[in-house]
Amino acid sequence: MEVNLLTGRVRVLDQYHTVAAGQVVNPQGYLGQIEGGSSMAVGFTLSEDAVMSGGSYVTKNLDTYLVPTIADMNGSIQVQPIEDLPDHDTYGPRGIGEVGSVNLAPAVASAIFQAVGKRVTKLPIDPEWLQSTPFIPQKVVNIHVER
Amino acid sequence: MWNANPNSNLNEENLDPASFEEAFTEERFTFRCHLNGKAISTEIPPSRRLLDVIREDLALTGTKRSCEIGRCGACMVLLDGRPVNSCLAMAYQCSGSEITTIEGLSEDGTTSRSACLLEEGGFQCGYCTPGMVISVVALLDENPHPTQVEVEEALSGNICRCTGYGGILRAVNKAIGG
Repeated sequence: MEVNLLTGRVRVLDQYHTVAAGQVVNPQGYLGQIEGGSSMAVGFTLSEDAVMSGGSYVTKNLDTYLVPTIADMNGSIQVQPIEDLPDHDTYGPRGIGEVGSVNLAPAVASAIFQAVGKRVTKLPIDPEWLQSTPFIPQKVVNIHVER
Repeated sequence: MWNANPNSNLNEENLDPASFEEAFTEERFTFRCHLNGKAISTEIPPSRRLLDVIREDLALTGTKRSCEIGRCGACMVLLDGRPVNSCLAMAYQCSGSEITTIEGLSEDGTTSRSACLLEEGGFQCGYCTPGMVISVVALLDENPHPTQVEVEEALSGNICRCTGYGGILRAVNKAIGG
């Protein structure tokens, strides 16, 4: 993950998903659901915001509701299925529809904390929270304040 | 467009599509073009969008209607070989041009490029697929060996909700390779 401190924008560069749902029945569908779920999660974590006001949507269309494009999803994604079920699991292999969307937001929030030391508590992550004044203007401001 | 005349009762709230269309369709316009290799001539209102001509008048429903503001790419067609969002193109602007929809890419509905999407899982619900295939065809016709960045740029006008683009990228890379 990468945070641009100037713009506050976050890019997801590398994802590793491991899913324990028993035996993989359809490998292509499995990969597709995890990758697809992760793209939905990248959207609701970083850019997709359906703003409501007075009971109706302010976000009317895809002009401001930003679904990730192929250029936002160009990081690598690894999917590792855990096919062994625990002994007490009597339900067998289970569906993994959209499972890829579950863990990405907390993982991104945690990675942001590790990268820039800020705790994100609301989705989507507003770039404004992550922006910091660049070094040189900061220095200028500090000098001015000190005097 | 909706509120061009504030006194008009044709505003968004009480819009009856039929009366709206009627109000603007006193004139008819003969739209002529080549669509999927066939000469087309049809009488349409001058305000008709290319998308509606393709889907409603000519019943070629492979071209999808989605955002209608040119953001999602589901309605993409080839206009003289270039990808165009047909929701933003007025039919009259396309007079005399060569239009190719998803149905026109091949006789039996599969091309080597759409076959790559099938094989690599480049779609799930399939709604973005016609537009995506059109974009891929337009890219590869112009540039048979695009770089990763060029692929991303060419396909960034096609939004896919469900695949996460992984399968689509693998399919495009397969199409480039073979």
